[in-house]
Amino acid sequence: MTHPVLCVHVTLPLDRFGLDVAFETTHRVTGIFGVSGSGKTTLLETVAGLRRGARGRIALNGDVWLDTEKRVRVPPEGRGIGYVPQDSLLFPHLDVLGNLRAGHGRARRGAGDVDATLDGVVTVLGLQPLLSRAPSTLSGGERQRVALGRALCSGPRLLLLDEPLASLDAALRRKVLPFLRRVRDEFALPMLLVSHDPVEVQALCDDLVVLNEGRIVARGEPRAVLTRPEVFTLGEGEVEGFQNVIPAQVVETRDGVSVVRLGGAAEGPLLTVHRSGLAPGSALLVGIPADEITLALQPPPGLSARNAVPARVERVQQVGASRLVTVRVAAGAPPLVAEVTADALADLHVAPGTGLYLLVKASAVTLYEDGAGAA
Amino acid sequence: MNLRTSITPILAALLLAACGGKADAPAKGDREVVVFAAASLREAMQELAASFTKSTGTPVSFNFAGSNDLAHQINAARGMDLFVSASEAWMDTVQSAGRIEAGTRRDLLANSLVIVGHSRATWTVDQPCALATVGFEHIAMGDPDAVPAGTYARKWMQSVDCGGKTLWDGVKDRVAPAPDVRAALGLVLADPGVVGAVYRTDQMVFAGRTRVLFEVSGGPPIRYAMALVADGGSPEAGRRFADFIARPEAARVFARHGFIPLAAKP
Amino acid sequence: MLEVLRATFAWAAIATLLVMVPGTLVAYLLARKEFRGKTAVSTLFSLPLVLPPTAVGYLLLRLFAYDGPLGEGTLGLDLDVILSPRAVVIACAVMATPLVVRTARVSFEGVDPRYEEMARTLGHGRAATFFRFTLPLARRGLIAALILGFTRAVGEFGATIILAGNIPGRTQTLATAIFSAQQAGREGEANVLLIIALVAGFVAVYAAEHLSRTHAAAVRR
Repeated sequence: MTHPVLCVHVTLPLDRFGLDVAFETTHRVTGIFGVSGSGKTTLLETVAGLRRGARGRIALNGDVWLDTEKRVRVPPEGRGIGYVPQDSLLFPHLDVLGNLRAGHGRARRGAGDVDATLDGVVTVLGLQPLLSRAPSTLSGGERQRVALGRALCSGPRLLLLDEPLASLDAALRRKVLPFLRRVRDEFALPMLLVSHDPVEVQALCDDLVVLNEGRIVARGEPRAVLTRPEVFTLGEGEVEGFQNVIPAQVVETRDGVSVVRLGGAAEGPLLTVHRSGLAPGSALLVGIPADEITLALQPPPGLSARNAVPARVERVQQVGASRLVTVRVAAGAPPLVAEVTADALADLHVAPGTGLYLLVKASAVTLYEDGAGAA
Repeated sequence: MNLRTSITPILAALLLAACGGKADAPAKGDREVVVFAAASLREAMQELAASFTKSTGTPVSFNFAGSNDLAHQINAARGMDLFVSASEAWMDTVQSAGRIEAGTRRDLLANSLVIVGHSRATWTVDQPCALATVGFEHIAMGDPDAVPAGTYARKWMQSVDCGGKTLWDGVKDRVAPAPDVRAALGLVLADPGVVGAVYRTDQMVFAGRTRVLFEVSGGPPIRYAMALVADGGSPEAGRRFADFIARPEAARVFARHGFIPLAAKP
Repeated sequence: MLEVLRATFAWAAIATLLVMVPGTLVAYLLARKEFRGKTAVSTLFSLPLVLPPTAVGYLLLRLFAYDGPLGEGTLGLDLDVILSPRAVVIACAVMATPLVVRTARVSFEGVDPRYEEMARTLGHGRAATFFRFTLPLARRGLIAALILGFTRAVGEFGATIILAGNIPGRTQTLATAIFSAQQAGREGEANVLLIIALVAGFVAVYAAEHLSRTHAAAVRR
């Protein structure tokens, strides 16, 4: 399958700095990561065609949306985008169904069965009970799902998501994130996702562009990019530290706790976590904050933490007063990052290749339950 | 421009009256004279007031409007010294309300009506009944139910017999009533399709832009009556101004403006 | 007397509808666009609100006079405005314009422009966005503008009496009929007309207040 090519080369003067971004991506979900005020939303609005004054070139699969040299500027209604803003922006004069149908005109002009798409969106996003409700009566999570559904029903060729979870509290975020993953997996649409949340981008993106003051400062696979020292420090004060987000599979549930296998590979280590509502065999994501991982050279006796996972050190990085230790728990599983103080690390004499144990309290692990059934 | 100067003393006088001030106390020195005068008198009155002020040092302020409006205002408020009405009827109204000083009422002027058209109007009206047959769209006049000029005009037209019907019957569907004579004249100035029934004196002010189609004669007598108003703010000065505009010198000024002065008081 | 009321309402309705379409568009431009001379345009459309109505009436009279810019002597054809029912409609429309434009402008300013951007991204062009999203979102404010404009038109006096006169059965309105009745001392007639005016005015303003309040509440949400 050839993925669509999104090509973005734009400059746009802003108040404090200029947006000056050039990247191309063939990945299905490309994340735009950065702290607030870094120009992420502006970049998204520029791609959507909502920002006048942008110069440069924007093209999707060779369709040129902006080319200031050739005086091409396709208006937003001609770009075939599905835009999901941070604050939903549901039309208050329409009910949920009306909002979902707001882009039907374009969807009809394009290919595809409009009604089938609507049914699919309603099913995937669980919107059936909400269809006749007014937007003002919806909860934050419901609004975001409707906004997402509205974009999907408009026959878009590219989804633009602006902080789709930022306005939600932690509990809602855990619930809505799986919907986004299902959308990514079931509607084969390229997406551009703006976020300042490392969890969100790890859970959803294949490719990450990091913006700071309007310029790209890092680019690559999300987990690798986020643990680079220059990126890791970006979110300080705004993001509560780095969180490892890795796929896992439920093994069993008993006595109020569940056991999951990390990485999905058969030889992945087991981790005891909160009780999951999912049946054994179900896929989910687990989040482990880097600063909630304790390192030990031997499995300590008499430990209250439920988990002592064997791992091998791959890399040690210095980030301010902290050290980021990247470890591998199993051959098939993605690496994990632990954040420890420089002093503590010095006592352990850790270097790449050192074998050690990760101590993790079950209560420190967040479950992002997919709800999509067995993997 | 002279709106402020004419309104301010009236307001002051009203305020005084409202506060229980002695508005009828003898004037200390020469205060301002407040004159309520029919709108048609504007130019002549202002000229006379200027020479009065020049010779006596006493300023005069005016409220020009339709005599009907003035009569209502005089009956409702206090502080004006002199009323010059374009009709006997509205002076009667004020008098029967007990608002004029006994023995001060006298007839000052006479006026006459003309039928006037736009300067481009080409109609010929050689006798009264011809008016009903010329093709004007509207005939503007002061509201016949209220404004003296309109009342006079209607009275005259009702007295003209045109083969069994009156002239009024021939034009009444085309009457455009206006709040005063000058407003009626304004419509004539704007639209060549409109004729007007106005005082000769009003037509003279706009002689260059209008054409007299017919001079009314034998209509009801048009009399301007003058009287001192009771409880005025400056009764003495008011009396002196009333005498001033009744003198032969003043009569010449009125005549120059087209009015017919009635027997000047020696 | 009922004929005067019927005619007044009919003229006011025509005048308001005449103003609503261009007035709404101007209000939208003023609310959304930046352009050279915007303040001048905004001021121009508010002018009848601050000018004495008689000044507006006189201006219109000069405009439509034989030798005026829209007169027969200039245009070569007679629009036959002065002293005609057309004149009532024109005077009412001009006097209602500021209220319509200002109220509509406020109601458009109350619509978050991002809803319009959202509609554009969903494939709607400028016109479709305006008609299918902006107008419905601003509808309560626009209805208030309609009612206020209508009320102003019903109550118009100064400009009407100068341009259209006060001809019973032809150009007489509620306002000029009250004036005539009062001038001629027909108090009974004046009182009845006054009560009609009071009731009609109260109902219209009450409705406008009610609508703009619920609109404000809806927008706040």
